[in-house]
Amino acid sequence: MNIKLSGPTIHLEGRFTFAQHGTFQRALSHLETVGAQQVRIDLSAVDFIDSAGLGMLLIARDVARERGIGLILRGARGAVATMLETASFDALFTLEAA
Amino acid sequence: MAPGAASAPQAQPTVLALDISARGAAAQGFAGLVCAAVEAQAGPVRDPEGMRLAVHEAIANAVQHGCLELGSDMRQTRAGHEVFAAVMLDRMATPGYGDRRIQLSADWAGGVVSISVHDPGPGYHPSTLASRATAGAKSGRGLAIIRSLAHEVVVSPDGRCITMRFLR
Repeated sequence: MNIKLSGPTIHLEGRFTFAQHGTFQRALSHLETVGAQQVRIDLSAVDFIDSAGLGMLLIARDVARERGIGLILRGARGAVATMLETASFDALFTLEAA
Repeated sequence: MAPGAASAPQAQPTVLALDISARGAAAQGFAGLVCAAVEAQAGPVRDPEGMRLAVHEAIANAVQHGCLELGSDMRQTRAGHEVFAAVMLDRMATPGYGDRRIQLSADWAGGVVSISVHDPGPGYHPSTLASRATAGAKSGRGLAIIRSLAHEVVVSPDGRCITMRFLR
């Protein structure tokens, strides 16, 4: 998975599974230091997410909430969008279309 | 011809079987390779993405919980997640964990493709796992995802083997 941090947006690209745990730590560190009220995680370039990836998004949600940051998941498509729906993430995050 | 051989019912043959270490099965994209091999022989299934994800989740469970004997409870917090990752890396390299073998088998007939994943771990009692993960739970979601994607799921009574059936 590639990750690009640009201010209040975190762009993820590629596969998002447990194997990407180390890379995602950078996103969590960014959340801790970004100093924004709202942060978007852009999932439009993620083509595969599994249950471990969903779990990591929930950890990001905890980190954001501790700092009063609203976390938005943006642009999920295809199988990734289906996974978010199956896991009822619409009740846990703000979901935004691309 | 042996007596009775002509009329004996033929067992459904297993037409694809793999035996692989936990380390090998954890390689990125392995489930996709398995599903591609199955589809190359059996023809397309109705939901190839769903099959790939379900098989991926089943293999991840076999590796993490079966072979490496890692509980998923520790993944509920960021710190716990980091500990889980460190222990996983360590056990993957430890004889007796990472070199344990997972057996995959697949067969197909009529409108159904069946894929089984068997691990040598301690197993679990299937009734102890909820069929749907709690909203917001950071782990324990894999089996619920598999059930939502496969046409039918059977877990062996000892929890070591999961069989998933997908429609063609």
